[in-house]
Amino acid sequence: MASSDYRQVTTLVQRLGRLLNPVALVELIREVISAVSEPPPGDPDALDRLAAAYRQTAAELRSLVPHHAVQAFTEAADALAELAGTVRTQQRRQVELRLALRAAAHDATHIGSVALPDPTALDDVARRVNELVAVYTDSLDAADRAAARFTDLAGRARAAAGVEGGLAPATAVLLAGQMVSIPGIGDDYDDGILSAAQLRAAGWRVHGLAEADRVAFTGLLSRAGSDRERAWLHKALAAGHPVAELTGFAEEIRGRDALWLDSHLSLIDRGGAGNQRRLGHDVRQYEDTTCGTTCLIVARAECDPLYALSLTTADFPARFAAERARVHDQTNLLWPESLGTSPRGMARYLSAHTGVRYAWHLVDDTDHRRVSSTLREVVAAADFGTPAPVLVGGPVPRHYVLVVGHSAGAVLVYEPTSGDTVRVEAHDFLAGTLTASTGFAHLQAVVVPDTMH
Amino acid sequence: MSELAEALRAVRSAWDQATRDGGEACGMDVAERAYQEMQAAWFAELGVHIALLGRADGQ
Repeated sequence: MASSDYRQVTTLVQRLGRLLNPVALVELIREVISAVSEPPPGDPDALDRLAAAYRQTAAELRSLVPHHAVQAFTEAADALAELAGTVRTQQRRQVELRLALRAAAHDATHIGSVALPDPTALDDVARRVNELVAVYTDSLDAADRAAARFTDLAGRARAAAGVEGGLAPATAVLLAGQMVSIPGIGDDYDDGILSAAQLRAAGWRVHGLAEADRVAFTGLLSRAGSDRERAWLHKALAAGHPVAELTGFAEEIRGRDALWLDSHLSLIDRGGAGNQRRLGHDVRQYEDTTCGTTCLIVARAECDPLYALSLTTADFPARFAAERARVHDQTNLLWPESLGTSPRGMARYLSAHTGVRYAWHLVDDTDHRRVSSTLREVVAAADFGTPAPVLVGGPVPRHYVLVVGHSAGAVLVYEPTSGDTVRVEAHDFLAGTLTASTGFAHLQAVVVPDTMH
Repeated sequence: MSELAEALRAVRSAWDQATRDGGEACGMDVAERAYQEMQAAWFAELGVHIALLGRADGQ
């Protein structure tokens, strides 16, 4: 078994599970003992050294770069140290269990000193096999958690994404540092006005402008009242609006304070858990079958501030209600309305209106590993500022939630029924344990950026 | 190049040398790939700040 091969460990877990059949057990005991000779992969001592290097670098960066960069290195050190501890524990446990399994196997295949099956001793073998399954499964989960945390941290390197798109370093750093901030919602998650992908797209758009448009856009930026306004203007450009459309938008937002800008140009604050309200009105579904629709509206508003402003500019409750009706009709041409929005309809709508190509996938949630790898894609999308809908339910699909953030071992989920963003431990989320956060036990489908496949 | 830019470049270089090839320690390939992406992203991010500090000195 190659020590770094995720698929090999997955196969081993499945093979160990088959051994719980007592008849097959005796025949396969020898093979099992051989198969579990490899410990869960990873080098805990090397991981500790990496953690120390990241921690030392964080200390050295303090006087040189903004706080969020120092924080990223500190969190990377924490993630590496946690992985080291987990791998060390799993490897020690695997050695203990393998020895115990050998002893139990001898008892199960001998009566006294005679080599004969002893069914009365099979229970002990089955218990050891179960414990080994748990060790190897835990090692897969630990890898999933570590991968998710590393991806989150990669997504926070947003200035580099802007420069990659063609923005000047000073502009990229300035824009990357602008965060959405609504009172009552924390700042535990990365809630930059522009995601890494949007910063990159803004750079591409600026460089792709015709000369007259470039002059006009530069003029809008120079007349803006604050760097925050400039960030929102770049986000609008990244959303694909022509410069001519941005002129009225720039005039509408010019001179507005931070709270006005953030509460009119987005529908949720991805910074933390809490009740998401805009202009005194809960941002939630108000009908039985508009959970998906509400998720679509919120997701689109996260990508397009002109769209958000079209809803919040006057009589938000009425405009929001009309938009729910419009989007619900538009995304449910064939699917029965009583079932809400279809996953296909969700993917099509998001692809058409966010500048990101989405795909949808059904999920077999009886396959633990499939659930975990699928939800890792959802979390990775959120890490790069792209909201991802998740369809959950009981026996049938019933409800959508929107994954909007991820930081330091926790996932932020927008729950349209209450209009709250709720914190879910990444461990629970990646394991598909969604009942507490969504009210439904089963994961049915996900809608994620197509680049994930 | 400003002193601050040089200092940041030195910190990045030391960090990169100590951690660049560390992904294998993660064991599983999914974690190793994510680690490498994180490493590359922050190498580039620190590069932006190095450029910014160097430019500030030149102005």
